Amino acid sequence: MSEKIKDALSADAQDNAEREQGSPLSAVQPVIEQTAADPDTDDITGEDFPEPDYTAPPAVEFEDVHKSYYLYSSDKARFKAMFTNNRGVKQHPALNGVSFTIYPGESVGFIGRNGAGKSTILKMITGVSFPTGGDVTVRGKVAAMLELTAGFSPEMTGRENIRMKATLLGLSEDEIEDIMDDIIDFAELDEYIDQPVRTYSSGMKMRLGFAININIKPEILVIDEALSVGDARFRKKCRKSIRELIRTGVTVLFVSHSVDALTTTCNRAIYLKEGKVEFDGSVVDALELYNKDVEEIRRKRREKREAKKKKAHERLEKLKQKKNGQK
Amino acid sequence: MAENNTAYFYTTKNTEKTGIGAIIREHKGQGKKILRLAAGALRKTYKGALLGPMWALIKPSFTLFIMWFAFAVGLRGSGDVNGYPRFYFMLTGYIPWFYINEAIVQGARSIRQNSQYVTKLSFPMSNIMTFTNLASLIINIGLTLIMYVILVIKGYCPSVYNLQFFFYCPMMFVFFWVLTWTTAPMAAFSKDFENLISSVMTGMFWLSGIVWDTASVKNEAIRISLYFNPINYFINGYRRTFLYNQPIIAEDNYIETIIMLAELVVLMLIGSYYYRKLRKLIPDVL
Repeated sequence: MSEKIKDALSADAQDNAEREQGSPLSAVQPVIEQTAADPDTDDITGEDFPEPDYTAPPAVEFEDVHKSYYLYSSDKARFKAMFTNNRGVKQHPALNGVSFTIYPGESVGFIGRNGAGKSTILKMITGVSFPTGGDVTVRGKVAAMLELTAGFSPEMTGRENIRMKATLLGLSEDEIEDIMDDIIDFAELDEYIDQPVRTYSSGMKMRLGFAININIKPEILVIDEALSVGDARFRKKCRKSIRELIRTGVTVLFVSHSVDALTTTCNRAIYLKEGKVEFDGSVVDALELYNKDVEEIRRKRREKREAKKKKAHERLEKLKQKKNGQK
Repeated sequence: MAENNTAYFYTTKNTEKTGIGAIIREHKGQGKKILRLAAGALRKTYKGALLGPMWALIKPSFTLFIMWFAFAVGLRGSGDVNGYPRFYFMLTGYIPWFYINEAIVQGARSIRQNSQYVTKLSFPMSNIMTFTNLASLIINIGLTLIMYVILVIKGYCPSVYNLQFFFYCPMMFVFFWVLTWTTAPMAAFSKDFENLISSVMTGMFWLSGIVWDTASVKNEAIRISLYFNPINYFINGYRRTFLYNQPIIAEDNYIETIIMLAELVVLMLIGSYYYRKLRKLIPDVL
């Protein structure tokens, strides 16, 4: 992996962060990911991956998937749309015919700029969002490390929440009792486990969410780059447990801008561009291509900026001349 | 590994063409889970209170106590209805009303209130309506028991006709559950619809025969039109079961029964259409 790509990517991540001014977290995270990722990812190496089973039925299958979101201009338009079959409502295409097949045991990284459709794909795999066209097939228990604290009831205790969440994920009572102690151990909540979740700190909630997802023994693991749970030591523990899962032949889907994380965790990459699969193959090639596009966009932006600067400079010159002329 | 585990198979291929089909498929083998979620919903609502879900019984009981005080102690001259003291007449109407009101209002709100199940997890959406309604039903069965004890003490019960409860109660559950196929997705899609329902329900209390007798309305056109209100059917059904000792189908109510069943079929068709149409849109708008 060349230093150049790494630099370009980290700069791009910063660009992205600047545009997403929403939460202060997102502004900081990509940068941290770049600098602090090394100690966490070091322990996952290529040798950990078992050979993917290409003869088995695919774990994830996308067949010409299209997705467009309806953009309602107002609450009134939304109310009307209920009775008019969404006629005349503006649509935003998020995916324009995405097809790929992922076999059990593969570890696939998704890369692409913001708005390329990465989140939409992950949402479809977790069964939350539905395609407008095409078909999605998923075989296996999915654990999504997307929004770890989602679905907790603040008034209920940690233990009740574990039971609730595991029920929602489709586990039976016996299965839940079996993994209960593992989850509590992993989350390191100790006596807090019988306190209402509203008294938890955000770190505790994250830890609990991660512990549940990792302990339900998923067959397909979906991880988003924004995943950062607790302190460095706990993050290391998370990495370790993810690695153990990878070793058992679990399918991993990974979204990240971090070169280190992608090269160490994935053996295949899918590069998405404007809702389409631009490239599907080795991680290095995908990153190279991605990097080239990023360079291109940055170059254009730089040119635009320079053109603007030049224009302003010219205007200034003109004004100066005018002033001189008046004198 | 994945290929051996049929329990975790998800595809968008070959989806049901009708909402009814989708709802039935979504409920297959989910019985235990729904029961557990209903119990969880009850626990969640009354968490942090010492008496917990008992409050769900205490609150309506208190309303009933005030009613008793007003009608049996205060307004003694409020008169009898069909030869029964007004308090017992109202009691048998109030108990199903508590359920109907909860089922309609909470049922419509259910998806929006449990939005994390829709937007964060792969969860069969129709199960949300089911467990919400089931939670209301569990409470209502408790209330019915309290009512039954009062009626037994007063000597109106027991009677063979009390067994009709096992027809009216499940029927009532099914009817208002089917209603939520339409109302819940619509209310999740547009908040106006949710507000509309809560507004309408305030008026429905007085339009339905809870404090007055729909059968004794003198104007025939109005009396017949009251048959179209399914709330009346179930309230009067409870009275037939616990107070009047009349059979489910008698000469005077077979039209009502037919109308109610026809309404159920129509609701199923509308609900099936809207559930199918809005199911895939709701995760994007919620």
